[in-house]
Amino acid sequence: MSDQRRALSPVIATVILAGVVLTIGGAIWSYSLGAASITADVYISDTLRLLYEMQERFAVEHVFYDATDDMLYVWVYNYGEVNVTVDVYVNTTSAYELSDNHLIEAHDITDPPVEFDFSSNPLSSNEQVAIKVYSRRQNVAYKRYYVP
Amino acid sequence: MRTRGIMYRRKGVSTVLGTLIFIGILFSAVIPMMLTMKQADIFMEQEKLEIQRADDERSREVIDLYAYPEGDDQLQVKVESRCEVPVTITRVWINNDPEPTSVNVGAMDEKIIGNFGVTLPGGVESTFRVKATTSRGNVFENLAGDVKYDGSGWVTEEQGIYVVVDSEGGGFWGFGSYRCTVENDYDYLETKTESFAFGSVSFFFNTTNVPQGEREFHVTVEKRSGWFWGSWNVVYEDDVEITWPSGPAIVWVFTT
Repeated sequence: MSDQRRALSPVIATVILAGVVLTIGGAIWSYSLGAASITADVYISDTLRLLYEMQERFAVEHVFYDATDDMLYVWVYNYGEVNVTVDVYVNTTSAYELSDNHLIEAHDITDPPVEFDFSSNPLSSNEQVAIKVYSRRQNVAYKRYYVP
Repeated sequence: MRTRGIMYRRKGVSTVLGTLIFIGILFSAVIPMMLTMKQADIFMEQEKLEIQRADDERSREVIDLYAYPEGDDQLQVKVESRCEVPVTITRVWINNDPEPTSVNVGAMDEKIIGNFGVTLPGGVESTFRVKATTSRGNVFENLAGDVKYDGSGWVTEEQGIYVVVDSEGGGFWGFGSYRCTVENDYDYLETKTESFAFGSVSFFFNTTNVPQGEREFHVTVEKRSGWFWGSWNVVYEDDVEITWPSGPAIVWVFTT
């Protein structure tokens, strides 16, 4: 009886050992697969983010100050291939105005234009106005405008 | 003793399994990840080249723009391409009003855009500043300046012929001289000379005072290579007509 069971322990030991190796190996494989796919996804999204940042193209196309109602109108043209969200800053000698969160689709213009109300502080003739347009991807466009 | 023998013979099973798992991880996780990253890099490089090409085309985009009245209350815009890339005009600005349009102008081609209606208050002076925006984001202003209405009819500040000679230098240390003559069949005759020209030379002939009906001119450009010697050779000769107010007030002539 004892002789017949002599080989049982090594077999069980081998099965247990193999099971442990397979379990640990499977866990490592599973973790590695997950980590690799997350790393790849992050890499791709970082690459696309950088690409969109590089693809952004916009400019201040036209500026108009309407002295009758003291409104400044700014048209921003997105001539790039990606949609852009911009914040427009207007800096005069006596005021600093912001109009934010304007979404401009690719190959489109801000319509209606970005408006700034200067009724409390009207601009004078020949006054210089600095217009800065910041995108949410940190690209910038500038324009200097002189009030006619 | 037999048991120990079996244990020794099975000692490599775990190593083999471990190796297989390692290779499995390598092939199923790491290599696809590296391939995906490589593909993203290639895509990035392609797009960077596209961006560079687009920026390059934008910087090479050059058009001449002329706005002039058409009839009593309309404007037309003439676009002359001066570049080797096709241009698409997406907007024409008349003062502060954008007029959406989509006109393709081929390389070194010209197109007339319009008509654009304008409001002319009777008896009141009006000025129209015209410019055009291209799909690449360039903005070109009217080369003839503002279009003006004096309350009763269209007027222009200046009419004339602008001659641009792309000089290649002469025969003496690269120096050459150019003589440009503009005349009509009536009493307009004007000659301008540029000595020791090197590079681009331009002449402007103001014809504002030439009456309508006499605005067909003959333009001659002569070149003398060398210092003070040598004879004048005709390098350009053609007729030019200023058709204002149904055409540009300033006509450009390009020659080499």
